[in-house]
Amino acid sequence: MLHRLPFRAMGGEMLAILEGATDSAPSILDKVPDWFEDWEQTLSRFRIDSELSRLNRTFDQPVEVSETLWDVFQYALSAETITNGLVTPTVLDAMLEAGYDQSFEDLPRLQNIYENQVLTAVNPLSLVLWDEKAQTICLPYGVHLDFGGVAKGWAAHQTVERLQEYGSVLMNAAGDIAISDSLASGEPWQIGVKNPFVKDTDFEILKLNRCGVATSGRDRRRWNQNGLLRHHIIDPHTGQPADTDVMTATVVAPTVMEAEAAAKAVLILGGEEGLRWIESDPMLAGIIVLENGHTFYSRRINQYL
Amino acid sequence: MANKPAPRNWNDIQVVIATGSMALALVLWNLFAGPDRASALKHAQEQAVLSPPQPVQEAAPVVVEVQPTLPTGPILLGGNAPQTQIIVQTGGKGGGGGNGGGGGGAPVTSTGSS
Repeated sequence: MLHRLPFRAMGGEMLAILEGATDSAPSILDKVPDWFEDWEQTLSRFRIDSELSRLNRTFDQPVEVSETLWDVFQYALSAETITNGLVTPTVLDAMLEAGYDQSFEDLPRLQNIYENQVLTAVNPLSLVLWDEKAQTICLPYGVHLDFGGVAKGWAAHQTVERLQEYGSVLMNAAGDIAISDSLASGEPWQIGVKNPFVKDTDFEILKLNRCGVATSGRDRRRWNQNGLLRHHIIDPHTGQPADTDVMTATVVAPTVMEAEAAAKAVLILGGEEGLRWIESDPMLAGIIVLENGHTFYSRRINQYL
Repeated sequence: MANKPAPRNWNDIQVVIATGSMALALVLWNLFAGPDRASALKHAQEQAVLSPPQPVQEAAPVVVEVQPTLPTGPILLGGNAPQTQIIVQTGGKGGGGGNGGGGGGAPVTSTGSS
């Protein structure tokens, strides 16, 4: 029996699914929204009183951070490493420059700004100093953090870790999905891949166990700034929304955090380069939809279809 | 007695004519092309605002396999070249089937960009 709990958090739609032996859902499932609320209060850049916002208001001084923020920061470091710097939380200032300065639900879809656009590369995360023993982070002047998708992936992963002792579990955090073991029947979880061109339609189904899957795309979260269509995936080399032929990239990886980072990297790299990059890592598989409607399937994705 | 100014030769006259022509061309260009460009820019911006990219019309699922354009260059980490499949997608498959099978019930949830 699958017990589903949809709710809203982190600016998106969430869905927790727990397979239970009985008709009544385990009470632990009801706690998931509270967990997300706590994590959002720590990790959101849109809440001025969040721990992350407080950290971003400091510079050149070590700040002791909570276990949650430290953990996500460590995953952000890993994401930057595995993507060769393409996915970094230091893109916040570039994101603000591009106009993404408030929660997407409140963001004006049409913006006119009159300052000159400054094209600057994003600071690498290596400029940030941290002390593992004291669990402190020290931001240099002018560097600010936005965990974005890493935080969502981390939250999905945490939820599965906490719930899996009660049965098979799946947590979908706005498209970033963490999956525990197969269902009690031995069947894999079936996950649809959304068609970016036709609303509320899946164009593929993946059969997955104990892994993560995430999709990064520019079919949503986009706005118009001074006549230019902008989106939220920043290329750290230019400090601008990535100029790419990819509409959406879906990646399957051992964890949802890796899947999320890899999907974003593919989107920034572009279709052919992104496919090559996926193929070069034996732990990754993916589906890349280009803006012209062509779709690339990586070699290893076949095992999930 | 002051020297008599040298008479202007044909080269000087040519230079004067060329300079005058260029100045006239610039004046006319700014007079006529300028306003048009401004209105064209305005029009383009309005169009961009009024007409966000629309999803393609949903059509009956038609999947056409085309010859893959494999990436060129060195193959990373050895092994076989990626077996890329390129599908021209003209409509949604509607939650079943998929590339190489994959049916057996509706998905419990979907992944998409958030």
